[in-house]
Amino acid sequence: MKTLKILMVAPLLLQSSLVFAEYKLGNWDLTTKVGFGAQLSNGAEGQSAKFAEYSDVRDSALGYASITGEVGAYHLGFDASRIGLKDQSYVLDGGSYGTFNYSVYYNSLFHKFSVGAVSLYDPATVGTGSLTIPSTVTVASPETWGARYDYTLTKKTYGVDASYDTGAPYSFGLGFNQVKEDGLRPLGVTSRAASTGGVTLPEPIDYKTNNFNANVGYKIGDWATNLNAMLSKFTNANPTLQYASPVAGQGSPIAYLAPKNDYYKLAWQNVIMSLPLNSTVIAKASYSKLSNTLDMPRSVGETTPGTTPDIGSFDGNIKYATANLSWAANPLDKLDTKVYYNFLRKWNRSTQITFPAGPSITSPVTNALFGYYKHNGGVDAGYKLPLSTRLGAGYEHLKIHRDRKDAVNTRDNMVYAELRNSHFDIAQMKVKYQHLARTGDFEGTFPGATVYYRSVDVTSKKQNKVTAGFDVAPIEHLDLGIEYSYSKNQYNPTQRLYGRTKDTVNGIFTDISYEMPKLFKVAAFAGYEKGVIDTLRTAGNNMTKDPALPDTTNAFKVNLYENNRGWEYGLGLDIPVIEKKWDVSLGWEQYRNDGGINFNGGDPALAVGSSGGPRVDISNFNDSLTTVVRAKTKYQFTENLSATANYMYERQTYSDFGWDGYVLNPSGMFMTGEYSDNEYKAHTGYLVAEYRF
Amino acid sequence: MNIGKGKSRFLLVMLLAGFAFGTSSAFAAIDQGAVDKCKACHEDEVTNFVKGTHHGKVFAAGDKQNSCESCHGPGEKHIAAGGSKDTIIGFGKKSEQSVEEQSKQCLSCHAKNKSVAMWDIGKHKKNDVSCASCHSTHVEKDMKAPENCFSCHKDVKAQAKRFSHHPIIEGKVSCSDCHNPHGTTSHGMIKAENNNQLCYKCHADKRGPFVWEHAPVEENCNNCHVPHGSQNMKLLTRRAPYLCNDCHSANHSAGTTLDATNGFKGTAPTNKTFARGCINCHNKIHGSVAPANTNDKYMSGQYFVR
Repeated sequence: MKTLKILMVAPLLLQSSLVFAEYKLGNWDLTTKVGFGAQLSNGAEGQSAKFAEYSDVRDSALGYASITGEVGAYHLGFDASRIGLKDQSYVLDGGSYGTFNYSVYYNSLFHKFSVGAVSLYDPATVGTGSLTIPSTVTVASPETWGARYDYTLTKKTYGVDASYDTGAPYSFGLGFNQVKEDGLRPLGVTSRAASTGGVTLPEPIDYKTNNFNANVGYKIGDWATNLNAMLSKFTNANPTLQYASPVAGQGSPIAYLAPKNDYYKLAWQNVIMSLPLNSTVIAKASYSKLSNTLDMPRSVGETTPGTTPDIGSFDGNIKYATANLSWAANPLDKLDTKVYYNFLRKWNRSTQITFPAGPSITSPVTNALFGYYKHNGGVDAGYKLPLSTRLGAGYEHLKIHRDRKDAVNTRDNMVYAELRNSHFDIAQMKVKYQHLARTGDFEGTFPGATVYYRSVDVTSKKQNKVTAGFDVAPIEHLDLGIEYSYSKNQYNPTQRLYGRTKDTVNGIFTDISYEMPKLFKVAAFAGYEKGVIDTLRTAGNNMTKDPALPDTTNAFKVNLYENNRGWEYGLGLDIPVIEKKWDVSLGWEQYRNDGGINFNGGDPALAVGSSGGPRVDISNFNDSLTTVVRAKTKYQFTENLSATANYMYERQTYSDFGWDGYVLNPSGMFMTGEYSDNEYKAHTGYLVAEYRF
Repeated sequence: MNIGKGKSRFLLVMLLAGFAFGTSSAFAAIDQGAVDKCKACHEDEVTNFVKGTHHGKVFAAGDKQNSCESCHGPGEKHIAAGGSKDTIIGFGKKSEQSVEEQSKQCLSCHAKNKSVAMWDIGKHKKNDVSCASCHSTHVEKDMKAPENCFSCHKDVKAQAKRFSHHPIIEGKVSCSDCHNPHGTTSHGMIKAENNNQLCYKCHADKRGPFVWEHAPVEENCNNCHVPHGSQNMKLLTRRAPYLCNDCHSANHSAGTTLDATNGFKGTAPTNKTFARGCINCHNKIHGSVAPANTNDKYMSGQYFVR
């Protein structure tokens, strides 16, 4: 698995904070580590985006360094990892213990979505805000498409933080960072005035976000209060993307990209400890505002533009307010309690625009300003029983009121009970049961419409959850842990509606390790999770028919049963061949997912797969298998000098009915191969020499 | 090297400035005599302590003991009793002290830290997680490594390794970037008032404000996404188009149940199903600032296709 390459390197890097050899520089006690080597891969960039999704695996030099130093109360640290690579990072931090701290950092993160994407647009225009089709391209012949590029985003963050906190009444903190993100991302839009046509565009990304925060705190005795201010400004150098439609006569429409915004937030936090009943009270409040002003376009450049009121600009204006009050207490020696209340409100005061009716949408259209508020409160209690057993129980209520015509209110009532035991030194166990009852306004009808489907996020439901865990160390150096979870949602079984009716998830995860000190350590893990989603739908497009009515010709219901089964398992072996001199580590892991959808229903009188007829089961659905084999050895030549060699074999297979047989130009579509390169097989390795002084 | 000359020079200057800054000891050194008493039996622990996590730091609080006893309490009885565990304050699973007693010992110095101010209200305290459950008091430990959390949160460990995941195991996103393990008043101990405010910190392009909002998106990112990892692309809770159909059952002729015939290899391929499904065209699903077009709804921001 491509993601594990960093895991191979990580232990080397993480050790940078360990203190080994030391030397003096003036008054400073210093520990320094420098590593240099090379990484190689036969499956470097170009093979699969998934292989290199977050990791720079190019054949290249590999370097890292760290310095930690102390003199008296002062400390200083510097870490540089994967120097020069696309996923490099640098951190310099220091300060004086108990007085002040500062940190200066730079971090580069990249995310690769696809390699070798193919587009019909002029390569010279890819990455710009205006895409044209060269005359040499025949849009229906992908072999004439000339643009080749990768979909990759690179996010670079650099900033500085500083804080002053002596534990005396006042504390201060300041921070600033800038995040720059650039690259290309696939953007899917319609290509013409029909629902069957779409085109994938290389969306140019050139974002910049400046974040500033400041806080001041005051603490005296058992009372601490803190005021925090945050400013964040997001800008996008490419607010629009104009593209030549590959469909004749459709002109050059415009896609509107991420809008700029300004965000600020003020937050206050107040903590009072050691109150009567051994209690702590926390009160918090925040207010934030998100705004922007955008030129309101009159059209999206289409050949048949609608009528847009000449309002000049759109003023985005969203405000959030939150409040929280929590009280945790120990009224009895064996009893702990918590009572809490949370409030959140979102106001949307943005510009509202009414677009006159037209041939395609025959009623005037006004953008809805979505706002909501949440009241959330609850109580928890735990009681210590004999034999280190704790019995806990709680209740929580959540009410959400939305400015949304189809689903105004939902009310959640949740109760839970849990039992924990840690009486035996060698074992701990826990089990928890939770029941949630949600009632929602959204049940088939809302003003102006009668519908027979549910929206899964706001519909009434009952949820049952069970979690259990058991950790045991029966003998010294042997540890075993097991965790089980079960969750079931039943969506209002009393009302027959189309949509999701039930879903369940069962998961069990375990790990075990055994160590014979100075000889070996072996570890294994295994996990299995099965998720099933049941949905009621129709075989044809008959969602306006009351599902409570019996099936009729051409209007048959269909039950859809989606299942996903995931496995993970692995073995690891660490052998100190020569203690503190030569270590060998071996590992093997597999991650597998097997999904599918079975259908039941449809009009048997119609052809299988035809509209209204029985559906065709899907057997390959998110099917993937990832295998990782790794070997690592480290040899300590001297107290200061060591070398590490690492080898990894990775293979991933992927099959899904929606991606298998991918073509760039299916009927009415002009695609680029985005997200389609998920299979790979690769050998990777690195060799690093490390010197500590 | 991609960091750029300007930034590298800045880091170098800061590094050198840091060395120039510290010139004298501001507090007492370790009480070697007291430490040596413990070293007779606990050589490795003392060696690690002197060089490890609390090297110097423990003394900045003005503790006068400057030794192992700063945390473990007086050791005379322990020595006299031949090292029995019940005569000394211990940490971890094998401690004779309760979780509360262990944590209290740590909080006697660390309670002033803002990040632990809400420890009393957090889930970890309630669930008998002690400071030593995660932290190593002797040996320096990378607290950003996800394995610290995975040892208990095994389900999250499995999610983080799924086909689609945030770069957690790659070390580019740490658990503590989103969660405060020391306690918050928010659900899931996240570092924000709600999920969206947390996600928008990194995904500022999704903030809006938009002319056309998608209400479930604005209310809770988790309506469609699993933050730790998913078998579905883009961290989705379910594969499109079936995820979209969970709400949009009757729109856009979607009442037709899409099946195996609708993939690339099927007898009736459709862009509602193959590849990214609905997202093939409705890519602006997080919100759009394009105008509505009542003459041609397929060219309209209202339907998140622009």
